[in-house]
Amino acid sequence: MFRYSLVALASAAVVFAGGCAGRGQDGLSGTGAGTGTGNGGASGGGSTSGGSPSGSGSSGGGSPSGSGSATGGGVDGGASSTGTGGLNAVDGGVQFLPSALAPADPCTSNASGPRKLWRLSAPEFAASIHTIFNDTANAAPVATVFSDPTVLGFSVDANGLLVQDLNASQLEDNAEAIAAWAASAGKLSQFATCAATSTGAPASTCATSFIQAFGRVAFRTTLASSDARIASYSKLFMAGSSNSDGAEAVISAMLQSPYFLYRSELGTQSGGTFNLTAYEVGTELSYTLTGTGPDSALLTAMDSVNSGSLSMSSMIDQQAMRLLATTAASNSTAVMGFMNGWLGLPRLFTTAKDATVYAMSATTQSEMQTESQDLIMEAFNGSGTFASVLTADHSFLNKDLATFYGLPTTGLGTSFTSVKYAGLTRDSGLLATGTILNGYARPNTDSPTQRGHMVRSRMLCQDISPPPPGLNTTFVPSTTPETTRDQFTMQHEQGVCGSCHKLMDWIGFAFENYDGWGRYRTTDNGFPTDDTATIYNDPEGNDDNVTGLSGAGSLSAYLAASADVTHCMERYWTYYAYGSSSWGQDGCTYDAVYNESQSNGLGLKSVLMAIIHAPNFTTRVQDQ
Amino acid sequence: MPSRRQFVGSVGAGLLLAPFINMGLARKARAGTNQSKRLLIFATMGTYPPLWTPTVSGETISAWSAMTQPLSAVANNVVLVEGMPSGNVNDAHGSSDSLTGQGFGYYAVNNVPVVKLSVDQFVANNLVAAGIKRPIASLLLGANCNENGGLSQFYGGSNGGNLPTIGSPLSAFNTVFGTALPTGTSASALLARRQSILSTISGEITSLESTLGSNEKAKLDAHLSSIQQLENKLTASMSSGGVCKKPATPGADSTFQYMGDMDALAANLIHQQIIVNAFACDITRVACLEYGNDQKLMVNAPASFSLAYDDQHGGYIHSGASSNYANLVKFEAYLATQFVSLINAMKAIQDPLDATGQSTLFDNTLMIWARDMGDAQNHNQQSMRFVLASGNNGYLKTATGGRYVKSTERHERILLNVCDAFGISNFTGFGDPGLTGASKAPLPGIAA
Repeated sequence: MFRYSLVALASAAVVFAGGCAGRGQDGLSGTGAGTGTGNGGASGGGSTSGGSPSGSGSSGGGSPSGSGSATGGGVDGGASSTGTGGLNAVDGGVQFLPSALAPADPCTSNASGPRKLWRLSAPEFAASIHTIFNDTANAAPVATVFSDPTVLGFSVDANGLLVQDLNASQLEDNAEAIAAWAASAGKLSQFATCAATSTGAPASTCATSFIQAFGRVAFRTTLASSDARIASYSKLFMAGSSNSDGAEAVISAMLQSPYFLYRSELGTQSGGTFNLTAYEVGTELSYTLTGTGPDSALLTAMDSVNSGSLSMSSMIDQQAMRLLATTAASNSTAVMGFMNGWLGLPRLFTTAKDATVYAMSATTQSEMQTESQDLIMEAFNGSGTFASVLTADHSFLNKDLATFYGLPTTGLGTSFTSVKYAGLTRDSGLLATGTILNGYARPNTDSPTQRGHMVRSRMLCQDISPPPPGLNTTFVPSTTPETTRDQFTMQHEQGVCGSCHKLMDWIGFAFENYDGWGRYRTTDNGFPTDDTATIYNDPEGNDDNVTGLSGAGSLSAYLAASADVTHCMERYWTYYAYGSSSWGQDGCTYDAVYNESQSNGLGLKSVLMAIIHAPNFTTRVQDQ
Repeated sequence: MPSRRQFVGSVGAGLLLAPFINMGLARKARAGTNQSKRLLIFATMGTYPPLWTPTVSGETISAWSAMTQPLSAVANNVVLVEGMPSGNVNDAHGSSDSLTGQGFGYYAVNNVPVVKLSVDQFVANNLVAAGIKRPIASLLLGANCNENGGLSQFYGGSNGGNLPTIGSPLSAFNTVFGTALPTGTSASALLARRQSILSTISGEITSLESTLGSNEKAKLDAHLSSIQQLENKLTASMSSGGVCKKPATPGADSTFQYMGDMDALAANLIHQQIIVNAFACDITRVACLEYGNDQKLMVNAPASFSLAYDDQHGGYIHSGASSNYANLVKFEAYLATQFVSLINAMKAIQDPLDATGQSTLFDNTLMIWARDMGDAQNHNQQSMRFVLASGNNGYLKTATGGRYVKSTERHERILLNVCDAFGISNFTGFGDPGLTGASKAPLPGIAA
């Protein structure tokens, strides 16, 4: 059974004055979980004297849903999200951003999600401008206008991507700069030959042709001659001193327009349903699979669907197959964009490291990134599943990385080669890569807590509440030689900490044969390592605990066979693709995705195809 | 010192600004307290407390620490405060929300979440509500503040989300000065075009809104509000003479690159100039400058600081113990130098809002150096620390040679002092709703 929020720290009303057996604890790691809806001290939970009133739920009328951030404990935890749990808007504002995936709303009527506007993310904004101008050299002066908040590990949340504060000013400035660049770089004529003319008064015929051509790529639609936008933009064009000046004005305006800045998923109403238009679906397809606006082939297909000469489903399948061709460079964008957010892979580069303990080169870090990406993309471009990524019998190494790992280097050079791990001491599979092992570690050692928390929260979708306010969470270095496992056991299994930490640490112990930099070891501080592990509160619901695990390979094998991991991955991937974490009857969508992907073998590509085949991809309901 | 100031050089400029001079919030009838007209927040990461704290005797600073030594140059203007816990001190990491006064975590009353709002936004909102509508309500600058998934220390907006800073010097310059047309220029055609475009866009948004539910409409409302700010800026004149001068146009972002990333320190030097000049032109009353974020700040300091290029977070803080945080000490000294530099820059410019010509920009500005954490090495908010600064007849009670205050009151109370400096006494909507009664008040003894 797929469950969420396995651990809600219901005891949060208690104000803890002490730590865990007086030794502190290693904080949580995380890739995106943020804050919960704690209950302020003024009403319900909270503290009394001297304690913290922050966000501790009370059994007496307050929310027991936890407080603070589930992220980033310890010395180098992940970024926290910026919002709160719950979906309530305040005073008519935009909904709060989620701190954790909410339980799926049961499906009773095959409803789709709500219609919405979805502002282009910062990378999409930049990529779209380059696509519009066919600017393969990336010469257009695209400025950093947006800084997107990280929510649930991703920067895609449709309720977090806003145009606000000084953005309009920045957009104006940038749009004018791009328009000027387009004129000086000879880009105007690619939309209408007449637009390059810089002498004489602007011509209305040129205005119309330019607006239709530029609007097609900027607004990702075909502007019919009857479209009211032709008239409004013609006024701007005709107010210019020449055709080229008018064209600059139109470019500047269109790049500030909501029709460019937002992906429209509003549709046209048919009874209680809104059917997304061919242009909206095509746009959805393009950004989901390539991270930028539609190319000319897709725009043509969108026209065909709009005119009735091609079915929507045919467009989706034909264009998806084209865009997801094995050799498509955009595949790594589409797939790794999700994997990076889901598993926090970039933590490889951001987790603080104490260079006085061990200084790992930037080159080695980059090689670790290549290794993990190659494992994932091999599965995606083939017929591999996520399970196959976890249990691969090989990895991708070059000589330098193999040397770092302490593996044989025979036959290896600077390029990466698939290396079978049979007979080698190191575990294979994604979880045993340096990317994971470095990203989830303390600055000066490994961290069973962070590694276990990643597995529990990101792969099993079981959120773990943060330590309650008032608890001393300061990590106290060991004063006597002992293994990390013994140190964590002593610190975390005592007192109030144990109830939560056993849900993380005892998974993380499976990685005890790897230090904080991902190097294989059989001793730790001079003592033999122990990589036996237990998953308490079995996520499958079959037994109380999953015992008998030993090592990263054993853990990976269990996770690979777990339907919960598949469900969890698909849930996050659906969030990444749709930009919405939950909505009424979202269970319908998750069921549709799972059922289709399961019938196609659960391959990574089939999961992505199932997401774009789900009814939510083409139909919506009224937004609230 | 009048001789060091640039006086308003034109009557026209003074007249242009005159309408705003008397639009301040009503002064509270509290003898001896001078209110501020501008707020400048200097935001950085936490530090290593044992090496930050100066040697003190009561409130007297007898010896500055190496970290704080540069502050001695403006000792008579600064108040060092520490010891104050947040609402939730054991926040672990990512505690970028200290300026909300809430400490790490989140708050709800009767299960209704409380929107996060940092003090800069609260003050800016109150200024606007009081009729002080400058072209930019609040100016948030700082390079790389959202890099690597990090968060800035500023919150607000439509859903209490984390507010980004403008990192690019050129973008910041253009945002502040680029579209604020100097009085008397002949850019009417450009102005007309910009206004026509904004009118077209606003019409499109309004049309879209008519079909939407409340959540999607709220997104577009935020967009319209942003456009409204821009329209205000387009129509607001600013002085083109006297103390109001544009800084030199910064280079493109590519000119600030170092080791494949934006050189945050170099960029922030430009941001300092932009902020001071924005104050001098009265383009904004609230400005913030942040160094890095809660996750990372790559430091490329001038050679005189002898700092290896490294990450403040991972390198100086978390790898610092073996050298007794030698690099962190140096970098803290660098930050203190920048804090002093800002003070001196504002001291050198006469305040155009003071018709008497007797005060400087700094005299009417409250500066606060705030941090996301108290003890950065251990990631907690046990002892938050601030450096406050104000000038002659300013808000603060200062002392010759510097003043040191240690308090175990909630750190939110210093933020309430910030509000108090602007005459704000209604704190509804700000801070921890669990902090009530006598504790929901500015810390006594901070104001003059």
